[in-house]
Amino acid sequence: MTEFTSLVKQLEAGNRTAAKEFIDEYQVKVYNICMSFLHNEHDAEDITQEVFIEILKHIGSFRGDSKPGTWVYRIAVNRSLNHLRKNKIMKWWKPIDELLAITGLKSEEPLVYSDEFEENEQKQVLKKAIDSLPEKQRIAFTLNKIDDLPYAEVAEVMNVSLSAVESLIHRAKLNLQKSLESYYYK
Amino acid sequence: MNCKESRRKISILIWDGVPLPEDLVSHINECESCSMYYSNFLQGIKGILKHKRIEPDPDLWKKVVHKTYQESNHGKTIKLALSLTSAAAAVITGIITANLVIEPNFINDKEQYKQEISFQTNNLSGLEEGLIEYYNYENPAK
Repeated sequence: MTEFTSLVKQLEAGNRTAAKEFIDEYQVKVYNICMSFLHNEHDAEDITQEVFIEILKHIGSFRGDSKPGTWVYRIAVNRSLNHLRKNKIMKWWKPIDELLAITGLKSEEPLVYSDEFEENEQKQVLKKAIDSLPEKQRIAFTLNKIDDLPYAEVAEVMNVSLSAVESLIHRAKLNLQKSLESYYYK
Repeated sequence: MNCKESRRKISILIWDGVPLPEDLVSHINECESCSMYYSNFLQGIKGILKHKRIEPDPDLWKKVVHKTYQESNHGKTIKLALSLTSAAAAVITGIITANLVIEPNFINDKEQYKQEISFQTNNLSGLEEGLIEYYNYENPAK
């Protein structure tokens, strides 16, 4: 019996200490994955909680044919993407302060150019370019380049071959180049 | 190296965290627009990676437990509401069914009821009364 299978048994039995240990082990990675897709701390925290609630509720359905991390990260990616799809229609309703917060400014603050502002602006440009990638390219690229998951693990999470992941990431880089060039040299 | 090739290489290599090849570095140093492209790109990446969390949230466990409890209570409330609605629906269905069972007796007495009602003008509505009055005025009894 592997360590994780034993953990699954304990979780199924409602062992609270095991559940706490499980959350502590995976929460940083899950939060970072959610954050890299959602770009919003509040949403990332909410979705992280939902991911763990879902996992603890359905721990019995874990078949053990993939690594536990892969299973957890897949749920985190799916939950984040579902959240984005759900909220796509609501984006026009964001209050002005939230929109300003994205650009790193507060409504009462004067517009001052600084390194931090510049970094924030470049972050927004890159974020927008990543968000506009086709979904599969975006998932592969984000998991590998932002969340540091190795190619093999990305392939497992996405349930595709290693070469497919390589190709998706390469195409993502070229698409990003197109988007960024059109922004920098418009 | 031309700018097109330079930007293609920057776009591919910048993510890999490896030192850039010498020819690319010398092009970036000489070309203002490629230098700008590289530094903007790098700043964007730094900005995105800045928000990565390193330390776990010590309260996440509590939040998960709280949310699970809330969801479970919400589920119980929905179940209770559904039970009450079902009970109310059952009572209403019972009343309607009982009325439908009793209805045939009324149907059998329909004709008699019609005759009775036709003589009770005080049971007629204002409009009906007005129409009868108008009819009687237009067609006085001979």
